[in-house]
Amino acid sequence: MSEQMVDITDVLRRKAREVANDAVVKSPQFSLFQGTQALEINNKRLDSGIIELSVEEEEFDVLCKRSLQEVLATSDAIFRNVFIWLQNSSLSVTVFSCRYVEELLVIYNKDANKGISSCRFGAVENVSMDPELLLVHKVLRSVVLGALHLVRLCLTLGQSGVVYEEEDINTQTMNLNVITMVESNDILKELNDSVDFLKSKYADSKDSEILQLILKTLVQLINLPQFIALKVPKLTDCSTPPQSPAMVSSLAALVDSLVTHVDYLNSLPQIPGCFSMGIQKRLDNRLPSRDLIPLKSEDYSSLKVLVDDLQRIWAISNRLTSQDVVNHALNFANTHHHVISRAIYALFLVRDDATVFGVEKVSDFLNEEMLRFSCWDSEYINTSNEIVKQKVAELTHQISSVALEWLSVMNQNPCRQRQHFSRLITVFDTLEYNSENFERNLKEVFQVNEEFEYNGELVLALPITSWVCYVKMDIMLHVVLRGFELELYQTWEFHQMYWYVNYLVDNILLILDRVIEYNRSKIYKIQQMKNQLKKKKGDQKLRYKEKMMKRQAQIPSLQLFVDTLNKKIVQYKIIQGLAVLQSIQLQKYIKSGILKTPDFPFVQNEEILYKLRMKPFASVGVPSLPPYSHYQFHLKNSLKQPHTPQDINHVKSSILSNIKIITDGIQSKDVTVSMHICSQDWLHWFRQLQRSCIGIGLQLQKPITATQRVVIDSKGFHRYFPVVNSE
Amino acid sequence: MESLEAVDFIGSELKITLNDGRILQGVLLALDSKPNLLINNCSETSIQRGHTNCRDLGLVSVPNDTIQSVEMKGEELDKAVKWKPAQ
Repeated sequence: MSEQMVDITDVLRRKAREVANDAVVKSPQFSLFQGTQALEINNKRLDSGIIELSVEEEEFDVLCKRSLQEVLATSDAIFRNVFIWLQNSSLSVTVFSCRYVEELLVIYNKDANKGISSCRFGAVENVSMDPELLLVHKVLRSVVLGALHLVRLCLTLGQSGVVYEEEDINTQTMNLNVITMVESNDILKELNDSVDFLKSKYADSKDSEILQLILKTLVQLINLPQFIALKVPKLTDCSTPPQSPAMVSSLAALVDSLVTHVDYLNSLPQIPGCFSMGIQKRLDNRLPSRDLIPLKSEDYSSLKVLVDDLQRIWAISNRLTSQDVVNHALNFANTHHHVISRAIYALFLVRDDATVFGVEKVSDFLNEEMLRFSCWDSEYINTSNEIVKQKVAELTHQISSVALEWLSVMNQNPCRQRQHFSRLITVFDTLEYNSENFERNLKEVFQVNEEFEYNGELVLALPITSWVCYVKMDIMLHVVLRGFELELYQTWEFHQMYWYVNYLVDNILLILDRVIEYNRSKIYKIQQMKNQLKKKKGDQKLRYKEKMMKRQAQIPSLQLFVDTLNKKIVQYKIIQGLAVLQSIQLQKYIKSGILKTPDFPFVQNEEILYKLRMKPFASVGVPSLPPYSHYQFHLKNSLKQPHTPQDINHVKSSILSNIKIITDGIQSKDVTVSMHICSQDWLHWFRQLQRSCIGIGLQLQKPITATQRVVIDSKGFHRYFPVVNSE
Repeated sequence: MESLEAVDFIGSELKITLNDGRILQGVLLALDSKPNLLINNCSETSIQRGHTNCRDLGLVSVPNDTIQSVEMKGEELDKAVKWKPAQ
């Protein structure tokens, strides 16, 4: 561009003066909103080109020899910076801010095709003659390679779509290729060679020992992709649970050792200029200038979290049923995890070949779920009509793709979980409509009569539709309750949302009751076969007896499923009880006038606010969204007839006794509760519900005055049921 | 060149020399009456420790008071001037 350039400074300034003062002349394709992302020249906060560097930073020498302690301090800082980066920082202020990392990446990027041979800090002669040069060009280099490989692995996980780029993980690499052309095995060899070197040259040194720990930990982390490929067969009653994979147990031991040295590592001085903002000034950078993150913000605790998460994920190897998978997934969704564990969990749970844990098809998993809920020993399963079987298989195939989506929500962050669940509501609603039509059609066209007596009349059992409807309502409940966790609702909206929770749980309990009755009717029918047997004679009797024996073998399973559903009812009653208790407390505040819809100028009609808040549920057919007038009617009635202390005590004691039933079940590994995997997390979950019950109960006893205001206290209480205090 | 208006420079590739010696090159997306410039696909060339350093900055806003000079390819300018009367 240098030749034939024309200076247009004056003409541009002159012509610009003709533009109106408040006008902007712009390209038609460009929106000014995009302009807000521009980096402003000479603005200290935005222009990385004016970052001022110290002499040490400017003159830092990556080629010179370093002591073992200096190499340890730098290696530790690089390694810790990987985990600081994974806590939502950018690479430029963490791993890439190390001069050794920058230098190696810049040289590598000039000739990436040469692989590991282009991964160096520069040209140095006679490296092999000097141990302190080897510490830099062999040991520190291998740490940089290991850390960058780990970064590359995390970037790959970030880009695989299982977590969100720039939301869960920052993937801006300053246009640097993060050693993608270097083989893992080459890096593992470098790391292992460095361990051998330290063992032979610095055998009795504490610094050497810690440095070896870092190198060995990197080796195990680089092997993480192997974890994703592990197949986890379902446990049978007589098989023993498989041991934790070697890489996870080794990693756990290494991290435990590393954590014990954190204080010592924090006391080591860093080489001046080794970590610098300089890379932001020197390389491609579309981000504003940012200060480096202090190293002490990471003390290997997030690495410990990652290891604990891997062990939690592996705990699924103890699963006996599909219900264990569902509860394990729900527990994963409900607990906090390292971003890498979340990515690994998604890939570990549903594999590329659409299998669950690499061993069973999603459709098989779904079939088991439906069988355990309502379909066991149903006519659809027992029928000999091949067309019906084929049609049922087609429907379950359709449902399994949605079930797959449900499973893939579980590793997302809580905001995304709610967003995906909201979307799934309409998907499941459509599925329910299709499924019901299908099941009614089966009766009319194929005479497959799946009926039972419920509330004194003969009704269609609709086992598949019942499952779909139940899952849909459970998702709806999650969406409402997650809103409390994510602080989406204003305090003055709490009452209507808990009222809706109550309404949803009522509907869930209805469907569970119906399915239980259906399952019981199947048990009853089998038991009645004995009476029929008495009427049979000869060969017919023998054949009937054989058939009866086969059917009788189904009774224990059916009874188990009834018991499981009853435990589900207990769990929903806990949620319902707490929603009721919370509503009673909120009604007190509403009655005393300290909780009301604020007088915002934009609030013209409270019904509009109600409809907006309930929008995710508005299109659902069953249960339909109650109109605002229903809510108003309920609220007015509740205010007129306040609950007596006896009523409140009854609700409280019912919640607490239901919690006890479930926690006892968890502790005794009751299969009908099915929370034996990650049982401590589940116990914590129910204990927090218990705390909320007690907290709200205590609050209910406090007198309220009209001059008070309401304050949310969520610390220590269950995330769905914070205590609304008055002060 | 006098026949041109501010809008005719939009979309042109400019070379901007800043008061601190840095050189920016990129495509002009927008300007106001000062003129402050908004440059896309911007690359920055500077001299650091005696070496020329070139890097990509993306979308950059250049305040008028930081600009020493603005240059444009002669060929591109000729085209803009020729095109103008034909409108």
